[in-house]
Order: sequence, then structure tokens, then C-alpha cells
Amino acid sequence: MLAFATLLLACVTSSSVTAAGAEVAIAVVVGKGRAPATPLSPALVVGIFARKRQLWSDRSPILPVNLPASHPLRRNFSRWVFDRTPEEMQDYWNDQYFHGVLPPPVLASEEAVLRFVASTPGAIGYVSTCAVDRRVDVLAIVQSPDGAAPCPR
Amino acid sequence: MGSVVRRLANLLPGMKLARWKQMNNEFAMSRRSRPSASARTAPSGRDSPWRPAAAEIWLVRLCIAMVVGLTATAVLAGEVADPDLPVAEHIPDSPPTGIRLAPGVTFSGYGTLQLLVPDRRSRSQSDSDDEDDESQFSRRARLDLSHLSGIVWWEPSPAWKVLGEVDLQDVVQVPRHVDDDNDGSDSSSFVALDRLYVDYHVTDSLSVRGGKFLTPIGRWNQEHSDPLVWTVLRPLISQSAFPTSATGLMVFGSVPVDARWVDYQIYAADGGEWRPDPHSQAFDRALGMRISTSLDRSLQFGFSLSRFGEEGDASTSFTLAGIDAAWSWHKVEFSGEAIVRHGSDGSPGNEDGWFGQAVVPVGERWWAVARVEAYRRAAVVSRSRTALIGLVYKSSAHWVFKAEWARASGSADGLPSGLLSSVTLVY
Repeated sequence: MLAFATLLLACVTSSSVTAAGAEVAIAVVVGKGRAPATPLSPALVVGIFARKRQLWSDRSPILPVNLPASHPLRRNFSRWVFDRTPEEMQDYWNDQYFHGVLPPPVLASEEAVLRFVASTPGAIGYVSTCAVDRRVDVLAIVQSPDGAAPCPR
Repeated sequence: MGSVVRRLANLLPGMKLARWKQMNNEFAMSRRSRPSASARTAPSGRDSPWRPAAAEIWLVRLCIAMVVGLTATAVLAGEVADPDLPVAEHIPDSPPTGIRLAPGVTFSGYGTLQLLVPDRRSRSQSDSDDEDDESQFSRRARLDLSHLSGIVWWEPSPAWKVLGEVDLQDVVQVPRHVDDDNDGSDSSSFVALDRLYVDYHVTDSLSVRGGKFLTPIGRWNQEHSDPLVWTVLRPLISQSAFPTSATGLMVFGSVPVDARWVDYQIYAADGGEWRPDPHSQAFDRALGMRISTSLDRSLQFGFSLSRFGEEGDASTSFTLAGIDAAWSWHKVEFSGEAIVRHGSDGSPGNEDGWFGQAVVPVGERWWAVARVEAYRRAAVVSRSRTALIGLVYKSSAHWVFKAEWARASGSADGLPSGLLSSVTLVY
């Protein structure tokens, strides 16, 4: 009886994990008409948001912006791109601080990211694929290894 | 806002209430619509003969000061809270944002207070030793403001960066430590120029650095700042086998390879060290490289190779090879480095060594640290070993406490045994 209950619990847990694994994908965006000729590779997404890449191909500065660490989209972005939570990334940023490199600043909401990216040359941010509109171009799609869930209606 | 403050500032000395009313009306008018020059300067023709008492003037001044203060606070708060402007992130363990001295100029740094208590064995060994003790450990217990570091960087354009770090070492010591190298008349305090260089980003994968920089051998030497390392005591192989800084040129960058980044550094120096540290050797010449990468998201690996000569022994060339690795998972970290150094003229310059270090969380913000190190100098027959255990507390408010017990064995020339403790504040 106990073994059956354990097996049942394991099945329920497993199915719930799979269901929760697929989440809405994240779009890495720049202002309309400012997209580079080639889409960003996963390594370049890492490089830009880790501040290893600081110049666009025309030598203008790359200005990455983050969402707040508590924002669900930021947490997913950090896990999918860096395989670390925002808190676990702080060791890296503390190292960089002593080399004169500061982490990307934050904006409060996806709408703020869209407005800032749309109006600021060189700016790059990320929003839910469901929030993408005509103000921005999508450079890359970041999603969970479990796949992307459709936008909620 | 600035014009309002200037107006109020002009009003404060010897101001009459009537004049204040007149100006206040002008200000109210200017808020509604921009008045013409004549409107701003036309006399009201209604000056009151009433003169306020001194107490009333002071009361008005106080009110003005409060209004100005509150307005300024509100304006500043409004700027910070503007949802359309990006702001620096403040979460636990995030680095400080530095102090913005001017547009593009940022100041940061750290200070460290150390308490060093050598054990009896170490003291008795030192008392019988005629040579100067050049390790970071004193022969006697002491309290030491060991580092007061200031880092300034200036980014005049996206392609250029200038960075300088000045470190005031051993500024305050209790009891005062006398440096025998310095006629015995001065303490061992020293104003060190740790780094001073200019970076130019030729492309996003290629940058050129000129000036004084930390020698890119191993991980520890380039990240040796007290807030970044887990122990007060620095491993010997990170500082004894090579000069820790170089004055010259470096080409460096990061290149994406598949989904990973490979960082490279190639450097050359031709002597002429800027403000050399009197307690360590400087390069006479050097040519070296370092490559580091993440083999996966948790494992970092580096390889260093250098050929160099040291000042004072220019006829000898050394070839040094080193590897380093660090594996981290959540708050657990294992790291290690190993080096081999060969001298061109035979064994006297040969050295080799390694260390392994484990860091494990033992509380919300507490970590336990353990390290073992082995080091062999060709001039000394036997290999010296050091074991260290310690505790580290990392505050979310940018200070770090460390306490550790180190024990040296074998022919541990210059190696300390005893208690080492420090508090470091980052700013």
C-alpha cells in the first residue's frame, strides 16, 4: 500500500514538473530598425548580458538592460541563459566590479523595457514573446529546455 | 528647479518680506507662463512700509529652507523612481555601484583590517631567523590596516577605458612593524600602484592594454582583492613564482566558441616596472599568455605560459607553466592551481607547487574553507606544506569577515602558522 502511494505520488510529481517546465519563451529585442544583419547566437546573448560584448559591429556601445531580480521573466532568462539564478550571478559581477565593469541596470517592467529599447540607440533588453510589438525587433528567442508554452489568452 | 534655487539663494540675505512676496508672485507667474523680460523686472509699486522682526525673518528663512529641501528631495526621488530610466540593481550580494565622480568616471575600492596572531612555533622560529620576514605574516601578533585601496576608472568613449588602483598597504599597525629594509627607521607601510592602464577596444574580440597590470598567471593573482578571495593568507604559488604585476603591453579579448567563451591574454614587458613593490621582484622582461574558458557552466579552466627574467638576475630566464580550475555548484566551490617553473641555468631557479581549496556553505551567509598547499623551491631540499581551515561571513552590505588557522610544515621558510583574521569593507 505504501509502495503504491509512493509510486502514485512520484507519477503526480513527475507530471506536474513536466507541465510546469514549458513556459512562455523570451524574446531578446532591440529598437525597430536597429537589428544587426545576423541574429544573435546563444553565445552572443550570454556575452552581451555578461558584459563581455560591449560594442555593436558599428562600434557603438551595447546598452543591455535587465528586469528586476524578482521578476519571473528575469529569473527564467538568468536560468536559461546563464544556468544560474540572478543571486548566483553576483559572484561573477563582484569579480567584474574590480575590473571596472558594472552589471546591466534594471527597468521595472516589460513595458519599460520596450519603451527604453525603442527610444535608445544601442539598447537591448528582453521581454516575453507575448509582449513583443511593433516598436522592437527580435534578435533571439530564449526558451526553456522543456519547450515554449503558448501565450495565455 | 535650478533657477528657483538661485532665486531663493539670492533672497536669503537681508530679505524683506514685501520683496519676497513680489518675487513669489513673479515665480508663480513664471510657472503659469513664461513672462517677458519687462514683466519680470517691472516694479510692483506696492512696497509695504512694514518691516518684519528678526524672528520673523528667520522663520521665513527656515520655511524656505524646508521648502527647498523637500522640493529637492522630491525631485531627486522622482528621478530615481522614473520607471523609464534604468537604475542600478540592489539585491543581496550585488556589487556596489561605485561613486560617480563625473560623467564616465567611477570610484570604488575596499579597506581591510587584519588581526594576525602567529603561534608559538612560528614565533620561536622567526626569533632565531636572521633573514627578513617578507611574508604577509608578522613575527608578533598585530592589528593591521593592511589595505586601503582606491580604484578609479574612466570611460571617455565606448572604445577607451583608463583604470588605476592605488593601494595604501599597512597604513596603521599596532604594534608598529619596523621594516629592516628601510634603515629600520620607517614602518613597512607602502603606497602601492597595483594597476594603471589604458584599454583600447580595437574590435569587440580584440583589445589592447598599455600600462601596469596584474600578471595573468593563474586565477588568484588577477582576482586577488580581499573581497574576492576566501582566505586572508594568499597561496605561495600565486605570488612567489613570478612577479605579480607587469608594466608593458597586453592584447586580450573574448571569443565565442560554440556556446562558450574563450578568454585570452597575451602580454609582453621589458622591465621598467612602474612603482615596484620593494618586497617583491619585478620583471626584467616577460612574454606570456593565458587562456581560460568554461568547460561547462560550472567548471572553469585556465592555462598560463610565460617566459621571463627578473630584475637583479637578468641572466637567468624562467619558463613557467600553470593550470587552474574552479568548479562551483550553488554555494559550493572547489578550486586549485598548479605551476612549474624552470630556470635556464639549472636547478636554483626551479620551483613547483599546487594548492587545492574547498568552500562549503555552513549557514545562511557563512562558509567553511579548507586549503592545502605544497611548494618546492630548488634551493630548499624538502617540500613545504601548508594546511588551512577557516570560516567566512559575507554580509549583504558589502563587508566580509574571515578567520582561519594556518599550519605550515616541512621547510616552511616564510610561511606562517597561526590565526589570521580580517574584516574587509567594499565601497
